[in-house]
Amino acid sequence: MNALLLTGQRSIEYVTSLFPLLTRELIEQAARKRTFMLRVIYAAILYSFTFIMLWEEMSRWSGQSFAFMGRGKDLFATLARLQFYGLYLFLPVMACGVLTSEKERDTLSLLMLSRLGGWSIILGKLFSRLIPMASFILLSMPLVAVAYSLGGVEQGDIMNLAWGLLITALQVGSLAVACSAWFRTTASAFMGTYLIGVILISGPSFLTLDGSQDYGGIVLAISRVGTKFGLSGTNGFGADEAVSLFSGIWACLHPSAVGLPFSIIVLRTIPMATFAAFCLIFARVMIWRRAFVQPSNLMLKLLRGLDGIFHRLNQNRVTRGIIILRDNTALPLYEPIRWRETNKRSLGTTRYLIRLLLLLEVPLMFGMLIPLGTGSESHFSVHASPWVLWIAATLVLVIQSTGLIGAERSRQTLDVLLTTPLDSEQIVREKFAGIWRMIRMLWIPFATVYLFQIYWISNVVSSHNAAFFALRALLATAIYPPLIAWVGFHFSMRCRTQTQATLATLGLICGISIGPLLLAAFLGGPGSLFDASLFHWISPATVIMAGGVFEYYSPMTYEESLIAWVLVHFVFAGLTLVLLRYLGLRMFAHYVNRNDGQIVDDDGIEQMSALRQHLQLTGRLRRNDREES
Amino acid sequence: MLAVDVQDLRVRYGRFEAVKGITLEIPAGEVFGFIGPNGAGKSSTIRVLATLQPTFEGDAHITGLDVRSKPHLVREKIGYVPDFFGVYEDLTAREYLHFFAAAYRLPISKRKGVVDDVLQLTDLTHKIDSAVDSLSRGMKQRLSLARVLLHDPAVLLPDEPASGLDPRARIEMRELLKALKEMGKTILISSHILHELAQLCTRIGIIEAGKMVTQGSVAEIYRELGVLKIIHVQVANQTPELIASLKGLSGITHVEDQADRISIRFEEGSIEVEDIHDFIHNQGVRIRMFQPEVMDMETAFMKLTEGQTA
Repeated sequence: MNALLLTGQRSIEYVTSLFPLLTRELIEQAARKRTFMLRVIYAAILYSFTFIMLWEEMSRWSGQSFAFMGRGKDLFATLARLQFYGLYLFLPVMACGVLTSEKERDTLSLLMLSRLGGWSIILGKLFSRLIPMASFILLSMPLVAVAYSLGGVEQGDIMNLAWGLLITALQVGSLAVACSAWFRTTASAFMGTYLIGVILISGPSFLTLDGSQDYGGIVLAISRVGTKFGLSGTNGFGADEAVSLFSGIWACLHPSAVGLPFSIIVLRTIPMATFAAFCLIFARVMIWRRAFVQPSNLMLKLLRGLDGIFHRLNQNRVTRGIIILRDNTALPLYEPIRWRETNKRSLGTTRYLIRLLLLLEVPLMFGMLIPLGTGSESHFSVHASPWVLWIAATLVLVIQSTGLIGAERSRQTLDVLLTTPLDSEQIVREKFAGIWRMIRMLWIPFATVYLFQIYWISNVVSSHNAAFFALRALLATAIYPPLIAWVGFHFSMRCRTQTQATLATLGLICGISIGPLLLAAFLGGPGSLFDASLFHWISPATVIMAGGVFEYYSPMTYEESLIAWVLVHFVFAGLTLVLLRYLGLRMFAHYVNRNDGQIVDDDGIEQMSALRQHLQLTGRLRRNDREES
Repeated sequence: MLAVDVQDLRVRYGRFEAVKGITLEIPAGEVFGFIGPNGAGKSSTIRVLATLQPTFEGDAHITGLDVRSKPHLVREKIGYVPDFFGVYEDLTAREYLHFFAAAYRLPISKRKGVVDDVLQLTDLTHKIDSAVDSLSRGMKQRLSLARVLLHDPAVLLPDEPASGLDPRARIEMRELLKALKEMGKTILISSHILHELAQLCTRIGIIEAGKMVTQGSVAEIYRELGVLKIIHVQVANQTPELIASLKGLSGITHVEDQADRISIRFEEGSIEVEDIHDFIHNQGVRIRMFQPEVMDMETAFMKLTEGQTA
């Protein structure tokens, strides 16, 4: 026993001598409250879902003890799915900042000067995130034991799952480290990891959305190769598996993978392992090359690029470089923050907003016109357009709103602004001027998409209630964009950096959009005791999309209760918007550490509201100017 | 009426007490230098006066206005210059100053004149249409100072304005502050460039671990310290007797025979420098060099503080 302990201790010492950074990272993480909070949240979700499922099973089979036997397989499958979802959701958050945080703190140069090699840093960083993730996965061991004791779970299933989780963790972690090596900020690395991950893991599945069996030559070729090398299950290595070669959840949990021997599962995950190796090599190549990359405003770069394209397009015989809308070069008069937000910030200026509008509107119009031109009843572009638009609008609004205070903090101009006599409410209202301008611009592409959808529903899918869909579309476009902006603004007030605020806002939006759908999926399975489909209507994603052309193949029935649920959803969303706005205006001074005291007039007697004081002062100023002139 | 009146100021960040009962009384027109090690509580005190600290204990008044209850009126009276460059880099110098002129609600008809004046004062007229991003660090800090002069505040609060500047920019900043002092502005300045504070300030306060260690004029602080002074002497015909006789002189605490000079330490007030000179001369030696060493602010600072933070 002592010899075993000694060997274990020596092995740990050997590993830590190979990766000295690993020890430091693990100690740092152990000192952070966030590490334990994440672990508790993960355990709470895992155990809650399992408990609910067990409770349902027990309720269904109450009084039939033997019928309960062998049901462990379902529980095991659910646990396995949860573990994969946990990996996909939590690991990028944990790992995408491993190198970008060093860049942001200017400490990567210190690592460069040390004796640590590139591989030592990359692997040390990767393992420092995989080890805590492994502890997350180990949390499920008692639940796996329960499933095993209920029967129906083979030892091979557990081996296959363990391998699938290991290789998925390696794949996702490597992708996050590669993004961290490439990008300058944690927010960019976070978005890059998720975007590439989604494209890689589920992106090819979109090819199957139109119901066509023609997946293209590459997919069929992969399918043939898979079948030839014996990677198929009982149903053959189909196109569904072929387009999801990089997804661990498919490789291990797809019906075709059930009962496969461990060696075949290992073979099926070779593309994932190859991808992980490619990501690590990429990170090794980029770690020093991109160590001192300057922070850049991607949005501004994009807009400037568009500017160049439009400028070149404008130089022709017909238009001859005509300028319809000139930039406002006037100096600020009464509302300086509004002036800066709408004239100087890239996403607030009219010129750039028109560029952005064209960037969104032209492809959308094109996408809408394809099915009309082809006569096809349904097309991928019709399905994807609203999604793309909402995702683009959300990203733009989140970046813009979290930058309202975050950018002031990072430029260290917030304190200077707060010591001016501008009232706190006035600062917030003027700050939102650029956001409102953007929201008004976004209404145009939203109108394009939804008007087309309403036309499509009323003409092609007559069974749908177009009026109800139109009402939902109207309420969604009126309420959600400002709601997103106010959520972003609240996080920007409370978080130290714009990156943190952006991540927190996106995390919340994703949680609210996906969480209820997952809840409904778990609670609303076959034989469920209550109708969990109503959980769908908590999610804004359902409210936005359901009833549109997405439902063409399975038109929903419009019951009165459903309409009531949707209305309740919007009433709740509207009240949240009003509350957030109220708190944003009232609590701004508190969150940014500004002493607002009491608002009194020069004699210190009469108390006035901030707005009234602002209006009075601005009015007085304008009167004075008129009199002087 | 005092320009700045702080009584028993205490600032807490959670359980941590950054300022532990500071009292300051600065009359109008005075330049008060705030000296202390990092984390001593200088910036916290200045932030209270700049209305950037909502919760604090004690009283703070600017030109008689209570900072706690009338911060919006206090903001009209102060000009806060942070230790970083609080400038919008997407604007030109002209736009930047007009932005704050509008924020301070200056009448539109007067803005151009005021902007021109502050640019002239800060020697940035030639940079009026330059992007703030393109200005040097020193220029950016001068632009920050120009910003706070727009509304002609009674009290300036520069928090380590010379931090991170090169020697030329530091000298320019010091000259600018001297000009403002001559204009009658009350200035509460914190800095690490101690000898510059000695030249600029009418009074200084040394703060450590959230407490005011001492405050007064530079001369008062030296006197209060009772510090030793040193004279470096070179003589043509040095003898061991000279050293022995110097050691026997009343008021002299230490005489060190160094390679090229004699270092004589004595207590301030116990003997005059001139008396020591006469004594050496009367010993019949020829004096090549007689150099009293003035204790600088660094020495005073090191003597008064122990490098503690709050």
